Parts: sequence; C-alpha cells; structure tokens
Amino acid sequence: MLSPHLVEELQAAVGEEFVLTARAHRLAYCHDSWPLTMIRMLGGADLSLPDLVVLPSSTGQVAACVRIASAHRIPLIPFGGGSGVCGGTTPPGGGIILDTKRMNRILELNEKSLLIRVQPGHIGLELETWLNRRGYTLGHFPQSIACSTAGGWVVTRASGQFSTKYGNIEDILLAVEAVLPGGEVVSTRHTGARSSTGPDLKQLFLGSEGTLGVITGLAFKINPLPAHRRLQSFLFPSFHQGLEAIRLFMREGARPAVARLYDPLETARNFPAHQKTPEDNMLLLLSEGSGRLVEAEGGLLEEVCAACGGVPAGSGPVTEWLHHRNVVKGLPEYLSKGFVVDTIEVAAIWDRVGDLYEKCLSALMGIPGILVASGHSSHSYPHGTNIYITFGGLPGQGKTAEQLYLESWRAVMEACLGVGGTICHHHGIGLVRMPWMRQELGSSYRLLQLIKQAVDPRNIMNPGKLLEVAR
Amino acid sequence: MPDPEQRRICALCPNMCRWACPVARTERLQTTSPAGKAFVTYMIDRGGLPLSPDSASAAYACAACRRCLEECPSQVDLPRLLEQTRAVCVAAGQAPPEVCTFLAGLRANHCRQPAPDRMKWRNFIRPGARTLYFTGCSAPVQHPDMVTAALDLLSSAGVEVDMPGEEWCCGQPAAQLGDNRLFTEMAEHNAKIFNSGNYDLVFSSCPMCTYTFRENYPAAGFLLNPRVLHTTELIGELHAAGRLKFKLPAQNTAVGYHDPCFLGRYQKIYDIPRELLKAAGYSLRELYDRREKGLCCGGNITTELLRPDTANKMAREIIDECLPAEISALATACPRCHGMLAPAGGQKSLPVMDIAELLILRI
Repeated sequence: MLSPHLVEELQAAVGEEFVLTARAHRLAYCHDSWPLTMIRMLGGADLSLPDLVVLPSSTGQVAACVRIASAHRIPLIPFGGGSGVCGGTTPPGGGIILDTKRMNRILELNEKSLLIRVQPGHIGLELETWLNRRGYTLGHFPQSIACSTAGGWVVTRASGQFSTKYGNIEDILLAVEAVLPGGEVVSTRHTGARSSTGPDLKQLFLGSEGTLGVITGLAFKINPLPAHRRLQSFLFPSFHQGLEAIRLFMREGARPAVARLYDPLETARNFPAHQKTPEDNMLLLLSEGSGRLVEAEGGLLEEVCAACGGVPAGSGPVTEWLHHRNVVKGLPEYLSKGFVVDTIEVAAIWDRVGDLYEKCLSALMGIPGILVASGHSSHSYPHGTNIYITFGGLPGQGKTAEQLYLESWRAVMEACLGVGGTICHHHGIGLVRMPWMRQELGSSYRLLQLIKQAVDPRNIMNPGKLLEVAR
Repeated sequence: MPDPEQRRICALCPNMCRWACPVARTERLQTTSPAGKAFVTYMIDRGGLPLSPDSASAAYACAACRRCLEECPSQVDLPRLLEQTRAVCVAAGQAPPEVCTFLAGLRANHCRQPAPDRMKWRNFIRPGARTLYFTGCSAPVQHPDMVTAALDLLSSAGVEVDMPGEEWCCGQPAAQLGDNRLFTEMAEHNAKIFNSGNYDLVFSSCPMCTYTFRENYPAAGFLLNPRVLHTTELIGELHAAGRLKFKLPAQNTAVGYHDPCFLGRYQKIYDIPRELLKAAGYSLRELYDRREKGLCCGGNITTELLRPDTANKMAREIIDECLPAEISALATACPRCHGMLAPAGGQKSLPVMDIAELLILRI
C-alpha cells in the first residue's frame, strides 16, 4: 500500500509532471525485453506493475527520489532503455521505477585526452552519433545500441560487437558518479591515466544491476574514428578449427575489432549464399585503425586462418553482417506463435571452450520440445572466448512454454558450470540467472552479500535481482 | 500481416526504432516510445486497460512521421495502427479534450486557420484555368510569401492558375486525430470542386494535402479526375520542359534542404527539390539526417496540438544538431515544416525558406 505522502514528496522532488501514476505508464514500465515476461504476457498472466514511475533530470533529483524511497522503505528500480533480456528491471510487485533517460546531457568532451563525461540516460546510438559528428567513436556497439542506455551498459557489464579491439564496457569506463541507497552522492574521480589508490571502486557499480545505487554520471574513453578498415572472412571445416584460429591470432597479439565465428547452423542461417558445404563454419574478421596497423593485422589474420584450415571467403560476408547486424526480427513473431525462443551467452577459457560449446548444445537438444540450438563466438580474449547460443522449441506433451523455457535455461547453466565456464558473458543476471549465482561466484558470493548489506541495509535498490540478500 | 498481430509484434519488440522516433527521443519516456505506444494500445485492445482520454494519450503521442518504419524489419506500420486507435477513441467519445475542441473548430470553419484572404493573389488567378492551386490551410495564413513565390514561378512559366472558391481543409488533420466522418465530409467537398471544373491538374505547396488527395481520397472512394502534384513536382516538370529557366548567379550560395516527412517518406520525393535547387545555382549541402532518415519537424497536428513543447524541441533539434556548416539558408517544401523550423532558425539567424522562394530569386 502506497503511503499517501509518497507521491507528493516525489512531485516536490522532480516536478508534478515527472511522476507518473496512470496505469498506462505503469504498464509500459512493467517489463524489459526478457522473453519469459513476453511468454507470460501472451499466456494471459497478470503483470507485476510498479506503483509509479519517476523521471528525474539531475543527480540532485535522483538523490531526493532515493532518499524518499529509503524513508518509505519502498523498492526503487533504476530503468534505462528497458532493453535487458534477463528481467533485470521487472518490478517486484509495486515499487518506484526511476527512469534515467531524461538525464541525457553531455557534460564534457575532452578531445586532447580522448574522454567524454555524460549523464547515464543517453540512448547508445544518440551518443555514438553525437561523437561521430565530431570525429570520434566510443567503440561500444552492443546489438541493442538503438534502444539501450549508457547507464544500462555499465550496470549490466555490457559488451559491444567491436569489443575485441575496443574492450568491453569495463575497459571503456573511466569513472562513475552514483547515488547510494541512502541518498548520498559518490563519485569515483578520474584524474590520471591510471591510479594506484586502493581498490577500483567504480567496479562496484559495473554489473551491479541497480542493486547498489543509481548511476548518475559516467566518464568514458573515446577513440578517433578509424581511418581504415579491412574486412575478411574464412570458412572452416569445423567449429573447433575456427576457434583454434582465433586463439592463435589473439595469442600473437592481433586485436581485430570484430572476430565472429558461426557454427554450421548459424552459417546457413546468416550466410546461406556463402556456405559451400553444410559443415562450413564462417569466421568474420574486421580490422580497423591506422592504415599500416590494419594491413599488418590483416596479414597476420590471413596467415593464421590459412594455417588452421580456413579458406578465404572474401569481404562480402562481413559487409552483409555490417548491414544486418542489429536487425532483431523474429522473436515476437515466434513467441506469438507459441514457440519458445531465446539466446544465452556463456564463456570459458580456451582449454574448456570447445567442451562448453558441445555440452551446452547437446544439453539443449536433449530436452523434449527443443527443435534447434546453435552457437557462435563473438568476443575473444587471449585467454578465452564466449559462446552465444540461440535455441528454439515448441512446448507440448503437457509441458507449458514457461516450463520449456526454464528447463532450457537450467540445462545450459548446469552444462556451463559443469565444464568450468562462466554462466554469463554480457547480458547480466536479472532474474533468469539468479538461481546459479551462488555457484558462479563460489566463496565470493558471501562478499557480494556483505557489500549489498553494507551499502543497502534496507534492501530498497532493485530487490530480488542479482543475488539473494543475506538474512 | 493482420493488424492485431502487427500491434502485438510491435508491442513485444525490443524497441530498436526508439532512437529514431522523434517523440521518444524528445520525451524520453517508455510509454511514448514506439513499442511502448504499441504495448499500451495492445493492452487497450485486449481489455487490460480501459479506454479513456488518459489511457489513449499514448495513441496520440505519434508525429506520424513514419521514421520508425525505416527501422522496422517487420514493416509494422505503427503510425497507422495508432491512427486506428485514435479513431476508436473519437468514436467512443474518449478523445483528449484538446482533440475534441480542435475537431469542433474544424467542423465549424472547415479550415485549420481563419479563412485566408485569397484576394491578395487575384492578379495571379485566372478563373477557368485548367490548373488549380489548392493552397492548404497553413501556407496562405502563416506564410503567404510561399504562395506568392509558387504563383510567380508558374506565371513565369506561362501557366494559368485558378484557385477554388471555397477550399476546405484537405481532411488529413481530421483523419490523423481519429475523426473519419469529418475527413469524409471534407474529402467529398474538395473532390467535388476538383472534379466539377475543367481541371487537368491540382497542385499544392503542402505535401500533406497532395498525399491526402493521392492516397486517402481514393481509399475513401473519392477518385479525382485531375492529376495531383506537389509544387516542386510541377516546377520540376516545367523546368524539364524548358518552360522555366533560371538565371545562374556568379557565385553559388550554399543552402541546406530539410526533407518534409509527407513529401519524402510518404511520397518518396527526395530528388526533385534537390535537383531544382542545384539547377537554380544553389550549392546544396546535405543535412546529417536526410532523405529516408530525415528528422521530423514536429508540425503534424498530433504533436503540434497535444505536445507543443515536444514539437518545438523536435524542430530545434534539426536546427541545432543536423545542419551542415556555413549555409546561408535552410530550404524546405512544406508550410508545416516552415512554420516549425523558421522560429528555431531565427534564433540562430538562419533564414528558413520554402523552395519556391529560393527559386523565384533566380528567375
């Protein structure tokens, strides 16, 4: 039951028009892009609505909202673009949704030192376009760039499609300003190229999923727009040979912006005109930067791929991918027709990744109702890579869509933990991965619980996500 | 794909077009993002949200610019789906009060603006001419120089022009707001005028009007005998036929060109205005957002009437963020766009002109 004073206090903090209580608004904010919410919705399940939505435009207003939520002991869920696919912003039956998108000012562009300070509510493509028009790029291109926010990237520890060169968001982030659950504003200063000044506290907010506070300011590295690009692709007779080529060129020091290896099913789905045999695995490579570096890297990639059995397939497949890489089509259509469809990204070090791929896919295909499962690698490191799995199935024989969905997730999570992989590469935890967090973090799970308890003793910040609070 | 399925797919989509939707970019709300609007109206459709002026407001949070369609891999026509919801609102008496007031005024006056004094153009008008100039509601009142320039250009090309005695609004604002009955009355009235004379051609400086005549009138059963052209198309034809010759200046002036939604995305007319500007000796510098991806000025009735602050911010974004360097003027080809962009341009001392005004300077 909402306190009658809550709305008035929030209105006083942010302005009357920026506190939304109408049911239409509460419906619009009751979900992110988690397929299970959609499955439930299509099945006619009751939706869990927030009590209200608040739209602050400054750090001070966020702090005021958080203090009010804390005083009333009401959950507060930070909300960016609503593009998360794990249920991370699902309201726990009531609470305040705090939408950060009105906080979209550019605070500083430092061209000499190559950094930018922004508020967290920029939609990715807005920020990238703004930078491009001034000759720069953030180098962060998640598939959700058109609908996710800068703050959302940080709290989910996101990755972009060009991460092999530019890094994941934790490599791009320089500093964070956040409002703690008590309303206190803290800022991790960025004053040098690197500091040796105790633990790196900005890491607390990377991947925090709104459980430790609300991010209100960010400093990112930026890069001059690359002058040159080289696109190459290779077909490998096996997925494992393709993985070996990536491992070897990463070990040699090559850092192509894009290195994506598709298994035969995904090669057939995405590059049917280029697949010569049904066993072919497509590897896309994109190098960019200054001309001489790009040429040198391109040559090295070519040599390593050839040595691993890769056959050149030209630049065409990469050009096609660049064109369609952010087209997300089919999920609502399939779900509407009763299919269960989702993606799961996991990762492992090189000596386990082959196993990870095999075990996850065979675990999925062993589930009655699952019709297809495939995978690709899209973010690589000298020590390992990720596997991004896509699966689909049709419930039946007394099994509901939700049951099939959850059974599929359980199979992949357990297979992943079984081979010593990590249960998540870049989508975050939200609700869907929570049951496996204790196993994932091992003894450090307790440390996370202690941090949560210390920072948010009233457990008002996005409760029920990421971890179970210690009792 | 049937409409209910389109709406459901849009409602469940990850909202990848949200960055392109000018209302969402400006208001920064989930509720007025494309998938948010689809979701709220989907819930109205399936009974999860009672229809009311309040709940229906998401259906009116659309600039009808069709920018989302350029991003949609499923080709869901969300502007049309929202227009359908607005029609349900009006029919059920659940439209927002501003809409009811506006529609009552339109029904009484048959025009968005006070009736213009068309006598000021009597020197250009030749009753009985076979070409009819439909000025539209906005141009004669808000920007009469646009009308004068268009008439002057046609006169230079030797084209005799008539004007309808009693021109009513084309009906697009009524249709956009959800009053299909009023739209039909207006279409019937105007179609009767167009078909009653000896007209070969009807043209207008307003691309919303020409789109309405070309698409909405036939769809509503009002087939027009004369051809319909936008002013730029007519001038383009006359120039191609050698009837309109431009005097080229010694030095080219750099201008930008803003694509009106109803001329560009609705009628796919992108090249003609650009070619005309170049033919008249202007150095065309493209805006960052242009052609199919051009930004909306906010001048649609839904935005202008119900969210004027949003509409003004949309226009300002074009002036502040999209212009190329060192242009002397920004051209456009729509009185609504002109009305929205001119004040924002004025704040930066940038003249915003209709393309006809720029062309007449070179005759």
